[in-house]
Amino acid sequence: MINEFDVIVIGSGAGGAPIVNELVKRQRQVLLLEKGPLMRCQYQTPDQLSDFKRDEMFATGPEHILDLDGMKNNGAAYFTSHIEPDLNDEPHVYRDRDGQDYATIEGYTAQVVGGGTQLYGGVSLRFTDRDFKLASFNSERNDLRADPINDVRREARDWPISYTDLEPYYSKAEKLIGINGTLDQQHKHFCSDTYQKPLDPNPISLYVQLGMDALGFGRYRTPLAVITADHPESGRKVSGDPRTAYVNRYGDPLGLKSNTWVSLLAPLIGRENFLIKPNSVVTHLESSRHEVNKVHYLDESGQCRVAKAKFVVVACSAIESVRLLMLSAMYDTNFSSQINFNQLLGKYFLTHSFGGADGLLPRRHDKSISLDSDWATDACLTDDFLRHNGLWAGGVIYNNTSDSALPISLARTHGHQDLDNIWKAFVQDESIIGDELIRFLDEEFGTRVSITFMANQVPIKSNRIELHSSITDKWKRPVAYVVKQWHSHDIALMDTYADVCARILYEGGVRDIGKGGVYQAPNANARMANHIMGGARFGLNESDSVLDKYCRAWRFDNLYVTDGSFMPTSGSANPTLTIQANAFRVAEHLGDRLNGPSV
Amino acid sequence: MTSVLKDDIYILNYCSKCIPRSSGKISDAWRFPIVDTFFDPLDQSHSYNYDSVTFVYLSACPDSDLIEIVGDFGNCFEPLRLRRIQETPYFTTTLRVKRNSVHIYKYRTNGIFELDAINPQRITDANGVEWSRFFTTTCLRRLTLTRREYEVLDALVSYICPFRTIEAQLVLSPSQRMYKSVGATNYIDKVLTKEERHRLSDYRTCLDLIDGILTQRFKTYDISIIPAVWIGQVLDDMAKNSVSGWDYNRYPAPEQFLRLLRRHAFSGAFSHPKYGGNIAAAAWSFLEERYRDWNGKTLFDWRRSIEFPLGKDKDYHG
Repeated sequence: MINEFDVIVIGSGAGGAPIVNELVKRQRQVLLLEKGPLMRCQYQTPDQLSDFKRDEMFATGPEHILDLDGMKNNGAAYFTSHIEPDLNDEPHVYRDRDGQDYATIEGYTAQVVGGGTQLYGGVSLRFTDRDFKLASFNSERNDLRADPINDVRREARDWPISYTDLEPYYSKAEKLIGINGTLDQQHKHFCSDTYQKPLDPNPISLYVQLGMDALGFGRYRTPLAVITADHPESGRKVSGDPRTAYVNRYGDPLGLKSNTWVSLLAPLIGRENFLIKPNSVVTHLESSRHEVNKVHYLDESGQCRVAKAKFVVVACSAIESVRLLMLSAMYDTNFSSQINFNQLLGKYFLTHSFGGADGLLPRRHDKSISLDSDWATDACLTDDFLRHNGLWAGGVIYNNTSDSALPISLARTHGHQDLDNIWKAFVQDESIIGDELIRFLDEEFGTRVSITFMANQVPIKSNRIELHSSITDKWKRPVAYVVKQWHSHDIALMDTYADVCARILYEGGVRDIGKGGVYQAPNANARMANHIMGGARFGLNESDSVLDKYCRAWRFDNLYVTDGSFMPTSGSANPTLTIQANAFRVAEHLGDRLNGPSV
Repeated sequence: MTSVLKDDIYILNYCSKCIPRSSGKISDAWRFPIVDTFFDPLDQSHSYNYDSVTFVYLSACPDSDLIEIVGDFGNCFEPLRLRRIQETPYFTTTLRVKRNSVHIYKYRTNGIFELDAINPQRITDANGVEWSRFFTTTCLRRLTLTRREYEVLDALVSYICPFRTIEAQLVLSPSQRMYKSVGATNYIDKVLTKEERHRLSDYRTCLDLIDGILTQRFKTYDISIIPAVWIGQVLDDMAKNSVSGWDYNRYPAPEQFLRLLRRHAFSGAFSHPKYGGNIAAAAWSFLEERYRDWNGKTLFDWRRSIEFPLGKDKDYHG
């Protein structure tokens, strides 16, 4: 069966949904292919039951055992969410510091309609003006710490667009998606304020508030993709209180979390020019000269299907988008010659330099009444701060409120465990048993305050995505292989920001503070915070980028990539809002192309 | 037996992730049949007595197959016909089934009976006939562990997770166990039946070893009279991988089993009651009661986010 459309969008998360939203509204024929299931809110199902639950066993499910020959962690236990892939079916593989290959769940934001926006905590920050011009900012600098051979000056890139170019689309995204927060004290220019009013902060955030104030850091309510009032743009009405602690790594059964499904896609259902096919995995793209002329996919029962469109937009999240393009190149020599001409596909893969600080409080707070964050500060994003500290780029700082707010979450993330090591520290700490278990709960439940920084990572060409040479997915296709490491300047940056986070907590009255950056984790090479960017960066010069300024693959007339893989630098904040804004920008461009002479 | 409307999207969401694989093996086969919340908007509190159970059959000849299901949930095993989902090879039906129940069933394909090829739960009845089986949420019936295994496990879990409410502490001595009110052992029995069947052999072996050690060490077959502190001694030895009387040929690392047991016990204590532990939210209530501010207001208000009637939230249907 071949279907023909104006646009096929592959992936329904932050990078794909805005494209669909814009072009469907412009009356174009749009097919959306999504590998994951369509999980709905209560008000969207015939029996008023959501496919998402407030259930800790949904966020991280039962034990699986890795069964992948050749992996160093073969035989290890892993725990994934119901909308993350089974690692035995579709692992990501990374190379660790010991040179061995490990299977990992890192880098999978979620496989579901809405993508990572279903599970994330909703932090929706803009990048700063500086984030768009890091090459210019650093071009003459000789003061950068831990960068002895000037990697930053050589590898930093200005974006081919400015903050001013993107600002209208930030506003559009914030309005259409539905975000609460405050504008004052943010170090970015806003043409309009479309934020909804935030709810009362959790009392535990007072320590962070006091600390930021004591240091003279301007603070603002962290913008979160959660509606606190009726949202006419998406047709959502507020029922219930979204502050439940079932926030980060949980889909929202009531639809108050502004994932791209409820905000941008669900309002389009029923339109004749919009077809969504969940549970459909695109296996590869086929091409002829400079045109992608077929999209091959498996439908919900695993049958092969083909669709055609004037334009194809890939937005599967950075690792999987790059992988899809590489697989297509593997199957199609023309595709390979067009996408690989400059050997940059997969290169300059990016995550964030992240970390933070935390401490135990003498008083307990009910963290179950919370969203993901209350307070943020841009104080460490200023040019003055960067120059004073010898840093190339900045990062936002914000507190966490829903972390370890529930008992099983407390236990399985004990010891700051990441997705690959869930439960490990708890089960290995054999003292936590009997009365000591009660003491563990007494000490830790509702008593830990934490604060995070999210900062730019130095682009390194050797940080890359490849196809693994031997491990395949359940459809026998090579899986993604992540090779990355931290630059010495990343480490210096993380140490600096961790110190700042610790100072905030100290000034707020917290003691017994721990701090650090992700580079210190045993599996540091795998850690991504689920912020995955780069691998198909855009630019002004086809010798230096994979995509042009409109995210079009240089040597394809009709192929675009709009998830985070387009970023040449990772930005000073969580990437989701920027991905959404950029996707709206590209959508407008595509809409103009479609309205023009036939392609 | 009441049928429940579940649309194609709901069912395909499960099938597409789990079923189509080149190897032919089913991922997370334990998810089938799909046991989920039942909700009648006209009678919310009564709904809570039921689950919806969705059966999925994968047909090799979907254009011609007639698929029916028979089970002890129906009217004297009356066959119910499954409907085909669009043009897929999947056939399905969804029924309303009482919570805390266990049922047997088979498919009848073009008149021929067969077991559910997806669901790994099987049982042989008193007549030696094999059936497929499922159980619904909050199931309290012991399904996989033997009675003796359950008793031994109960003693271990009660030491690992000694959740005693303040009330109980006033009337019971510290050595008396309140485990029955939390239900972590029941949770473990269920998770070994369903989600983590691969761990059953660990439990079979280790509970047998521990039973032998306890019996031998404390000269009694009655587990319930062994003081908790003595159980703790055995667990301490397991943590050090040095247990007098342990057969290391049968299970080389008792420490590994203790880690598994602690994860299960904690999960069983604090997971949603539908999984069989945390019975009537006893462990959540333990935290709610134990952690209060100076005004007596709880510092873990779990009820506000959990569905009525278990919790207070009437907007969220579970």
